[in-house]
Amino acid sequence: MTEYSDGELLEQFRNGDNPNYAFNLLVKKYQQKVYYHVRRIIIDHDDTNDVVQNTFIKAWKGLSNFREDAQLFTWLYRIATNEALTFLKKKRTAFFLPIVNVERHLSEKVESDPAMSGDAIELKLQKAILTLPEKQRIVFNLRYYDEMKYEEMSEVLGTSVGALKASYHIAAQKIEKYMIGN
Amino acid sequence: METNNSNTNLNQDERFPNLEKAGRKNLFTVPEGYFNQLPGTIAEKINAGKQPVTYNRNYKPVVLGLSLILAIALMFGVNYFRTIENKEVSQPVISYQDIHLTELEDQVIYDEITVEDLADTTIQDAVKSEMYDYLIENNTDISLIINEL
Repeated sequence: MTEYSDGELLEQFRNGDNPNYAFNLLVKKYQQKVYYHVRRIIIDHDDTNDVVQNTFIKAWKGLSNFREDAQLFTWLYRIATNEALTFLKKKRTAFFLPIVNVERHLSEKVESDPAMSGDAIELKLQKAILTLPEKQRIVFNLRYYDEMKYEEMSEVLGTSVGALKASYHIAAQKIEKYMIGN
Repeated sequence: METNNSNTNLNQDERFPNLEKAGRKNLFTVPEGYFNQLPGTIAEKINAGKQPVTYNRNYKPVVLGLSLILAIALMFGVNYFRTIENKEVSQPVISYQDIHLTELEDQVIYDEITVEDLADTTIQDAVKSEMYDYLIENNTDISLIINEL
């Protein structure tokens, strides 16, 4: 299948005969990246599925007004991050849970979820990541797994490059210690 | 996105050997055919004009209980619970600038850095090292900065 550039997809969406088709191509292009970004935050597949669908429905509603002063994929990541954080906030509100208990619940899910593959050290890394504060965890995942540039992360998260660098390195250091100590 | 070639510093970070040993393998699996079906599912919802879901699929009993408590509280003039917020979910996204990630402002990121983190010399070294990398990556003349001090 031909993979269109973001500019071509936007052009097709705005001026083509079939914006639904163009949007479908956009979903196909970015669904996996968006899905795994959200999954690393939320852990559970069913919840992630809801959040990803919401992300793309919101993207559909906003795409005609999308201004190209940002990249399309950072815009999608931004919506997805916002949706994932909103989801976690609602989960905490619904169960009156402090943040730490949500992370503990997610960590237990990593241990027991049959939908998790990987050997002991890889699972240990996931558990280490879940000991990080929520926002530090997002910063770490974007940098470590998505290999995103700090400048792009800054677009996604609306945070300065300096703050992101400090956050990532502190997160990496904490994980390193966890891996040695546990 | 960074490519592997332009990102050797990230991929071979000797400061975090145990982290590097664990690798970057994606551990999360999805049901078979999930990514083949997802675009169709999203298209169906868009065509049906569905609004985004409000994430209460599993929480109905809790939400009912909360509603009861809220009603009782309101009867007694207590309104502590009125700040429960779902504005971000119910309002459609209009533009890039409308997606405010207030929870991720710099201050919040810095707030997550604890006093213990700052006292940790290995972390200080890591941050310093990253700052130097940043200056080098951006061809910043360090002597100019020193002269300004």
